[in-house]
Amino acid sequence: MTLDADITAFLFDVAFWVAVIVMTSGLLQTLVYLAQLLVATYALMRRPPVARSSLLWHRFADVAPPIAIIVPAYNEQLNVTETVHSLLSMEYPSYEVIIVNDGSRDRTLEVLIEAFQLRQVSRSYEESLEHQPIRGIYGNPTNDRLTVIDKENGGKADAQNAGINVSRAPLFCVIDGDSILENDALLRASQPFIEDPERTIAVGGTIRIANNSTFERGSVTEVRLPTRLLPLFQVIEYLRAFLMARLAWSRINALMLISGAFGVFRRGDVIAVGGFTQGSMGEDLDLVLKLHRHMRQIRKDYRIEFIPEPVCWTEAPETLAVLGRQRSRWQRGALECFFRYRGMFMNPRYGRIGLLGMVHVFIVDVVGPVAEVLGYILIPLFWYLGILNLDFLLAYTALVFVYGIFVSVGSLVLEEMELRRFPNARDLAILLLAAIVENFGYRQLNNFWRIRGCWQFLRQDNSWGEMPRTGFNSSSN
Amino acid sequence: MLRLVWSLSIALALTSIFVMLVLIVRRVIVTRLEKNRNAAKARLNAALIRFTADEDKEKVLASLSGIPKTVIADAGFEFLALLRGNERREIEEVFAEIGIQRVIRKQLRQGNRSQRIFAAERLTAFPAAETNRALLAALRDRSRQVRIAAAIALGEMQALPPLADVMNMIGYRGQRSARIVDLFQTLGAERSEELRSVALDIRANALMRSAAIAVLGQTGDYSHLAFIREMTRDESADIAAAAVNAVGRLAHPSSAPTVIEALRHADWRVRSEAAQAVRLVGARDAIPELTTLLEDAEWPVRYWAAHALHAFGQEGIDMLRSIAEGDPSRSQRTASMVMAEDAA
Repeated sequence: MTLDADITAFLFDVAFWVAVIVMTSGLLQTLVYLAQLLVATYALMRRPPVARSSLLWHRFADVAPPIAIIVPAYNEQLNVTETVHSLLSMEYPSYEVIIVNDGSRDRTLEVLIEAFQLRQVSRSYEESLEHQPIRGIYGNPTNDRLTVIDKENGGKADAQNAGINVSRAPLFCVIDGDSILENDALLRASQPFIEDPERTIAVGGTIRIANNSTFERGSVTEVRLPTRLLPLFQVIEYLRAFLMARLAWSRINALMLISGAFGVFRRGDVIAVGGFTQGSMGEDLDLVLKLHRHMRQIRKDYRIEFIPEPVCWTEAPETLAVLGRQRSRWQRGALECFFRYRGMFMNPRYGRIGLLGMVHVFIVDVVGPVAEVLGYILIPLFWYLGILNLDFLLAYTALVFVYGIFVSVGSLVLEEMELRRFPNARDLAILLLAAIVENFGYRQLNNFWRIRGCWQFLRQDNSWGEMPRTGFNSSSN
Repeated sequence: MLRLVWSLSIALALTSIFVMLVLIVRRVIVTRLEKNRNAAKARLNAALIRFTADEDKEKVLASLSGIPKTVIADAGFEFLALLRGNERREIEEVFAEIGIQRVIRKQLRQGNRSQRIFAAERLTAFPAAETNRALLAALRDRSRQVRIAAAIALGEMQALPPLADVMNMIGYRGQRSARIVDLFQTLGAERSEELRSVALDIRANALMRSAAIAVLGQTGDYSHLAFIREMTRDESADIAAAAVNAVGRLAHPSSAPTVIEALRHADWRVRSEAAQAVRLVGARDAIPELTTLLEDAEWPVRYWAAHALHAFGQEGIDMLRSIAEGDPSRSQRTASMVMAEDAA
């Protein structure tokens, strides 16, 4: 009898503390999202309305610094031609496009050679970053804007490092092989480098989901919402990630991530930190953390900025299997970077990066998924066992879901104020519905994938996973 | 506590629903307004195209009278950007006649930052005392970008006050925009002394001083040579590099000793600029220095030194070839790669 009472008391204690941990974590995440929403709203209110790209050209054409666009391509035969067409029609006074064929097993190189009439050329380059051997460099004798590097497979970071070595411009822009940049994206992304050239070392732009939108020779001709549910939910997620989170963190100069799908960097500073970390699951987060650490260590005033207007379109996974692999990989990347740079966590030497940015990564990426999944499992279990009160369970659950919807609606407000890329009110209504529905099922699934990522991280599973492409819709189809 | 949680949930849910409805209604209204605006813009473009063909001023004025002036002040200038010469001037006169400059001046005073910058740029189409006054007032705008845009506009209209005063108004402290180059470029040759003052002004940061030197280098005026050569010895590597670049741009053979001296500078950025300038000033005496630089620790220096050697004709090419055929080394690799690249 006493033993039973002891066990029951112990279970109550455990339940109490688990509930406290889950709720504290939930509360902290809630505060983080609320703070992000408020800061992003403030940042948007302070931003001047967007100027037309023709005006930017008129203003900046003479002073815009040269940029090398580096595109790592691995098995991208479906999209690569479209991507290159898009890049060759950019509105920017001085840029070159460097495609890095990272030992693709499909016909990526052949497709490029045929489509752009390339032939092998000699080009001297700096060997400041390590990467797998380059097998050949290709160019078109009549168009020196495009260069293709053919190298042995070494992964995305390795390919990007090869591109950085071969590039000669003071700035480089990295985008994914399955992405399409809007024509004025470089002009907009270069603005901080023009207005504050000494301090700006990196700039990130917005990534949008291209599924179901129509493209013609590398330009978006019709923006449509995805018809399938998974990409539709990702549209909301991307809005939250870019228009809310990045804008807010950029505002306080503590931006921790510039997406690998689209970012512009000062070449010299990236070389100084050793380029992209080879074999990293989160090479984009890793690079930004390295840049922060480097600039703080050398005590140099700097800015890493996010600006919402330059838009890069990308194809989102449409199946659970592929999306799950992507999300698990992102989670592994976040954990890997957090633990690699753990010395910055709560370290006042790194200022707001150590005290805010790393704490944010800890709350949202390290503790967040574990606490949320624990909450989903244990709180109903404790209720079932009679440890937790039903009224409390219902109230807490309702608040969690309603708050999720509130945050998503908040990011849609930011989208509507700043970019308004979805053409009609019907799209907006669909997005608003999706913002509600995603909280029931999709959000939990996402957390499951993240937990799987945590598990893979603990097992040191470094597999990247295939990302099959369907290719962009062409208006001529 | 429980009551509070439920109340909060209900409040958040109601707020979300309300915001969703407002967003949708707002979007419907915005779409309708945009449609009207696009229709007005189409009418404006049609009227202006007709005017460029028939030059019938009465007719175009009648057509424009039914179009909101804010649309003309915005879309009209998009159209103007496509034109040059008489056609452009005639349309600007039509705009002036219907008082578009007053709308733009108001935007310069009261618009948001983006509108104020755009307004400063457009006002150059309406040279007049009121325009100058409006732009001079904008030199005290709260936004640095607007102040620079106003200064550039005044410079383009040859109405810029003394540069030292303008720099005071734009602000030395915190001035970082590369658009300062655009401002300096608006100064005519007769005001290049003012650029020299900025280049020497210790209140200005390296970016501004370098910009002033770069623009002096773009003038093609050899009278600045001695001054710019002196600046190549500035203690700031940024300024010294800008000065070496400017010496190269002026491309005067008498600058050869200065450029050769810069090839030995401690900072690689200066050496890199010098390796590019050496070919422009025709400093053939630099061949031994350039050969040494093929072993430089910095790739851009090695790269430009090799290119300079190649550009010096047979003597340089022979030197590169002998290094390329020698034992493996940094110089050998640089020489062979640049030989292959330049031969292609």
